[in-house]
Amino acid sequence: MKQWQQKQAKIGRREVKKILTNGAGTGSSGVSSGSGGGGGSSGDGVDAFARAVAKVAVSQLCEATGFHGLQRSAVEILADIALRYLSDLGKAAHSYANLSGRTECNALDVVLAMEDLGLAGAAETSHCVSNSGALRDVMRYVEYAEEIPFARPVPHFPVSKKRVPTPSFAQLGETPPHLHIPSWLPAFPDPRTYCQTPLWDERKSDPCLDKLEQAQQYQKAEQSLSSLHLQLSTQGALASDGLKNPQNLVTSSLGDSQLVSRQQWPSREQDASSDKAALEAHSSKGKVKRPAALAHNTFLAPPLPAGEKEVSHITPFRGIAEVDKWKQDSAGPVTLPSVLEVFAPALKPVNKDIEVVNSGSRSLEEKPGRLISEMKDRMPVCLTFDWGQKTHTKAMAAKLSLARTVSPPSTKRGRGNTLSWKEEEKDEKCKRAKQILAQAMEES
Amino acid sequence: MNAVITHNPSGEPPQVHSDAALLDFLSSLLDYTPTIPDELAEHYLSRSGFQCPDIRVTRLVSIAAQKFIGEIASDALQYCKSRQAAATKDKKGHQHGKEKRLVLTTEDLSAALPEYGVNIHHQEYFADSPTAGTAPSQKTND
Repeated sequence: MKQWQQKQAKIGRREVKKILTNGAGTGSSGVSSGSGGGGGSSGDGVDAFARAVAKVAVSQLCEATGFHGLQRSAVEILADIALRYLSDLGKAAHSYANLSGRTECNALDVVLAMEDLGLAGAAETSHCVSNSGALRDVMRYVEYAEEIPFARPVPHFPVSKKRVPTPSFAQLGETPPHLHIPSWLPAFPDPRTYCQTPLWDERKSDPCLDKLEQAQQYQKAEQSLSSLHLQLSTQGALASDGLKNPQNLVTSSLGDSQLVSRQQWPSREQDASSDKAALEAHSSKGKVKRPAALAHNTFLAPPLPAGEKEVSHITPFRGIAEVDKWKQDSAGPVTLPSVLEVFAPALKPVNKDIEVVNSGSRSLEEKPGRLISEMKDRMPVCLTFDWGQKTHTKAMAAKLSLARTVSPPSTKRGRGNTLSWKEEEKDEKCKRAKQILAQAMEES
Repeated sequence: MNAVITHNPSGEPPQVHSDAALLDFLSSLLDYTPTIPDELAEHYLSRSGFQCPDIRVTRLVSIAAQKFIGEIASDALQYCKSRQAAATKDKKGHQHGKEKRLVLTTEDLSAALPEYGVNIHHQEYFADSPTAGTAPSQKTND
């Protein structure tokens, strides 16, 4: 009892220190006291699990006693005490069994250990073990105390990893290399695991040769692609002919293969792909084989004539009122209105702006058509934000410069009637510009 | 099973004891499931050298430990209740009907454990640094 008390005194302090430094639950604590076999480094994980399980059991016991809540440090202390008690009981029982000349413990050893560890029973030497006070106390406890089974099922631990041993010579069917080695011993490792063996394929790679080869391959690929393109275009032309005259398909040389291809296109798909691969490899034979290959290729097959395959009807867009016009013109090409006609309403205010700038000259209003034509020729716009005399002079200067710039390009283009008309326009512009300038100078 | 005859040095007549009670008890242990699971007990007992194929003996050990912990817990409960009663007495009985939560604290444990041979010194408070809690005039760094 005293020994155990002394032990616990030391342990208690150490345990509390550990708890304060948040070391609880990791590794062995104070095993130097002698309880247990001494936790090794491999037992750390097992210890943590065992401690957790013990904590749960202890908290269950406290709950049964009547506590509503537990402090974590208190739980850890109690769990540690419980585990130490278990270990001490086991150690004492084992030593009693050894004392009797046995290796396996029995119930009487345990009872003696219980007495040793100071359960409430009296420590007397004269009475029989089965009548010991400790045992009686435990029996009484079992009778009166409530049975509290552990909350969760606990798996068997520690879980040891099953190691597959190295097979022996006999198991592998090998004969040991030397006479002195028996066949039931584990076999030697392969020599390649500890010796550097020579490589099997040493391909001499010449960078120049490699590049040449690569260039040749590219050339071949290009040739095959260009010839394929040619064949595609010719086949396309033939296909369009074939649509109008289905009978011609039978007569034309390509037509045969085309007809065949259309009928059997699911089965020929694989052939087409394989043929294509063969094509690219042998460019010399390509031209002879290509028509046949193309005929097999479903992607290059001629389109189906209208009505052969049911297609969902597509309703045209009904956004603008001019769609009716399009319906009438459905036979011929669709005539879309020109951009200028569509955006004519937007252009009108633009013309007005230009008139505001040139407020001095009213003559421009009479010729809006000229402005539009000028717009077509991409008139450069000079923007100024100040209003007054200066703007007028600036605008006139800009116009004059325009007149000069427009005339040289028109002479370059100048062919036919447009040339004379533009020259006349130019003269008129110059006169007008001069007039406006004169007026502006008079006003200033 | 066997009758054990012990010779007493004091000269009293030999006492014939039977292990019947122990045997009955052991057989009853098969029905009783201790709170400490068997696997945990077996692990720690094997670490200390205890070797027994009989599960009942292992259960006996785990029940002994369970009893030990239960006694400590009940003692701690007594301390806790007495502390609460002392607190309510000071506050002049406005909280007679109200029961506060019973929480097992390290203080109660440290009061209950010396009886069982465990001396725990519980730290009352913790300080972050050596100068924590000292007067501001003594602090050199701010």
